[in-house]
Amino acid sequence: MRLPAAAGFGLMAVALAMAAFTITYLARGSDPASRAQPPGDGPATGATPLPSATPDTSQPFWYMPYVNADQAKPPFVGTLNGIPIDPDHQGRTPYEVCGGSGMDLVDPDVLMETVTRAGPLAVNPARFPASVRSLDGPWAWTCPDGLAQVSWIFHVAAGTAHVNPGGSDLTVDRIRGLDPVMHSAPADRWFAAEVAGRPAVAQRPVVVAGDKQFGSCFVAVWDVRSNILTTVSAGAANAEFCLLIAEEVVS
Amino acid sequence: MNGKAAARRLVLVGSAVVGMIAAFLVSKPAAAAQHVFSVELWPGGGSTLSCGWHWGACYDDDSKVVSGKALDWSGNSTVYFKVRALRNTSFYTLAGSGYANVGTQAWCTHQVGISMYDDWGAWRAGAIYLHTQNSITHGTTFNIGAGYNVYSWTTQQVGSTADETNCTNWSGHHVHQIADTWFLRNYPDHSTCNRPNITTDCWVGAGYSQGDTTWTLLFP
Repeated sequence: MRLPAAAGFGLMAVALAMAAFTITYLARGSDPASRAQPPGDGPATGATPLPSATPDTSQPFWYMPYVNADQAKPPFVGTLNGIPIDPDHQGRTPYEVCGGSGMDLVDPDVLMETVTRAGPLAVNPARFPASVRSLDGPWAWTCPDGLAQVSWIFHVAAGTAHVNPGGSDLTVDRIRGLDPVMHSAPADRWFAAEVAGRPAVAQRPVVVAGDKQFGSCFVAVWDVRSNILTTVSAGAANAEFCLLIAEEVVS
Repeated sequence: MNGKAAARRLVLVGSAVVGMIAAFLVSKPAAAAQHVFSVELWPGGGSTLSCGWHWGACYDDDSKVVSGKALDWSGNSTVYFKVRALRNTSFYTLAGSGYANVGTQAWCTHQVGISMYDDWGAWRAGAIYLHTQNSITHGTTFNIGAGYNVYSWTTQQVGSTADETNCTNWSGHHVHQIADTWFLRNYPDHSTCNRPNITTDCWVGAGYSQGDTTWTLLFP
């Protein structure tokens, strides 16, 4: 079973070539890294996506082209679903809201009961998903003739449906009267909605791609009968989440 | 005979050279780079602390105040989202992006929120500044830098302390800075710093980091 001398020599040459390949391949450096070393000063390149492009979320800063495109559009100013929207509106002063006097904080001894008790300005987080926890507040404000405003800030845990994979903050405000909504976004991110039978406007975040998203959501609900404007804002969530919270607050 | 041996040697050396050349011609993808980012949140509303860690309103009656995740900074000042960050690898990349969420309808609680996203768009932490009249536009996005084994500062102006006149319980201009999802540092609590009645620990010099967060990303 001896190999012919020529065949043995050929195998030796092939083995030597393979060994040289293996040793050299392992010893050489890698190809230049591209993603690990983004060129220049970072992602603010001004690039914008093609109109029908699908976000490539495998890339770092995949959201920036969509942010750039969004910021190039003018903010919407007008009325949608009967609710005025004006980002430059300065709002009323507490003096104007209370008809000539200032606003007072509700006494802390009765604060939680005042805020969660059923009523046109109530906010009851027991109705929210379990992953929503109080972060700060609530605050409740009165005019001489009664409760005028409730505000509460929450944290939403990672893994909550319709929320950024890392979580989000959440703010709920309920105030007397219909002031123009001061939230800013281009027209294509606003849409009319209905929350618990009441007219509402909602705002989508900048971009949503599957379970990933970038940007905030916002909902404003106007209750004509009780003369209360309810707003819900989450820093990193989809419109579905803001609508869900608004429904639980208003209904 | 010598000629044949020389030829064989030449073939063997040639085989090795071919193998080495082939090793350089075949693509070798870069190894994934694992970046660890360490980020600190710093005071953004001035350096004069008027109420230590507390929750909700900081009533003058300290027995009615609850410990929480917010600090009050007094004075009429510019308000910043201020962080410093480092990464543990020499490969250059930013720590992520900041995103401004502006637009509360509430009175007496003008509000600017900043969300901090990592490079792949996952929300990592946030800071909310109450009693802040915004100068930043809703939706503004900015880079959060990170140095290699050395801290790099990011200071983004978000507004100025709001004039909450006729909000009768507020005593003077101040910023209520909420730290969301940070490991909180050892600042005074409201029980030792609650102006005007308790001033024991309110002096914090120029301030220092309020909170920390860390995350790891794998760059392919």
